[in-house]
Amino acid sequence: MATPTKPSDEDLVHAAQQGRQEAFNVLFERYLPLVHNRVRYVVPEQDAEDVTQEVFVAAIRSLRSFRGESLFSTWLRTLTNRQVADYYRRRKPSLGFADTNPRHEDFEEVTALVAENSDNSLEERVALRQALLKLPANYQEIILLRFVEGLQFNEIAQLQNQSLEATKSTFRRAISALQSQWENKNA
Amino acid sequence: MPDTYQPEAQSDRARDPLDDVLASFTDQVLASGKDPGAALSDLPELRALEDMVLRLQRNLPATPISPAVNRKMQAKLAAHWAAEGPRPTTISLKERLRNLLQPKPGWQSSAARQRTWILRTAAAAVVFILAAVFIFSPTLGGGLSGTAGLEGGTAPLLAILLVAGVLIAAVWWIRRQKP
Repeated sequence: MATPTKPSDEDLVHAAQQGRQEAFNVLFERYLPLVHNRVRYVVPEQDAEDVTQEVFVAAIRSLRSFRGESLFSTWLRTLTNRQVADYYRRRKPSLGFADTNPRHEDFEEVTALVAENSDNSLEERVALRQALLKLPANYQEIILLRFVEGLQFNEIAQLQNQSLEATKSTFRRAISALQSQWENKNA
Repeated sequence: MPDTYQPEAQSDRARDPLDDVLASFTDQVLASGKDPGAALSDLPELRALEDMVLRLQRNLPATPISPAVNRKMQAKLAAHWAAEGPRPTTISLKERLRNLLQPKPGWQSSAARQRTWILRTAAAAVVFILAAVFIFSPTLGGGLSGTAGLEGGTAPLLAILLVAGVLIAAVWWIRRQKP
C-alpha cells in the first residue's frame, strides 16, 4: 500500500487561499513549533503565546496577498519578525525597537518565573534576550536561523542568497556583537 | 590562476579562518546538544565567542507547546478565519460565468470590432452585386434599354430593398449574438 505523501506548503497555501480552512490548519500545525520557538527566544515567556497567535492571525489576514514569490516559510518568518517588532512598539510607544530596554517588565518576568521554577538560568535567559534584541536585524536573524530554527549554514546561505563563507563570517560577527552586548550589560 | 571565474574570490581574500572554526564548533554543539568542554579554543578571542555559543545553546526553548495551548490557539484562529479568512471562490466563479455570457460592447474588443466591419462590408458587397444583377439582367426585368418609366423596374427595386433589409437584419442579429 502506498504511503500518502505530505502536501507541499504551496499546495496548502493555494487551497487556503481558495477558502479551505483545513489547509490552513495543516500549515498552522506544521509551523507552530517554529514560530513559537522563535517568538519565545525574543519575547518574554508570558507574552510568547499571544505574539505567536498574532503571527497566525496576521497570516490569515494577508493570505490573499501572498503571491508565492518567496517560500511560505520565509513569508511567515517576515510576519513573525514584524509581530515581534509590533509587540515592542506597543510596549514602548515612544521608543524605537532597537532602543527598547524593558527592565521593569523583565524584572516582573524573572520574578514570576523564578517563583514557578526556582531556576537560576532564567536571569541569564532574560539578559541574553535583551542583548540579542540590541543587535542589528541581520545579526539577530542569523542567530535565530541557526539556533532556533536549526538551519545549517549552507541552508542559511541559500536562504539569504549569500556564499557559505559570507554566511559564516556574518555569523561570527553576530556572535561577537552579542558577546560585546553581553559584556557591556554584565560589566 | 583559476580556470573559471569565481565570484566569491574577493570575499575569500577577506575570509578569516576563525569563521570556519566557530561555525564548526557551533555545528558540533548543536548536534550533540551538550557542552564539548575539551574542544574549546585556546585563543582568548575565540574562546569568548565559543562561550557565547554555549550560552545561546543553553537557553534554547526546550519545552514544546502544550496540546492544550495548541487547541486553544486553534479555536481562536478558527474564529479569526471565519471573520477575516479568504472566502470560498463560488461567488467569483458565478460572476465569472455571468461575465462570459453577457454580450460585450464592441469597444471592449478589437476582434469584435473587426468582425463587425467585415460583416458590414460583406453585406454591402452582396447588396451591390444583387443590385447590379437586377439592373443589368434583361430576364429579371432590368436592363438599361427601355428603362424610362417605372413599369418594368418596380419589382427588381422591391427585391433589392427586401434583400437589403434581410441583410441588415441579419447583420444586426449576428452582432447581438457574437460580440
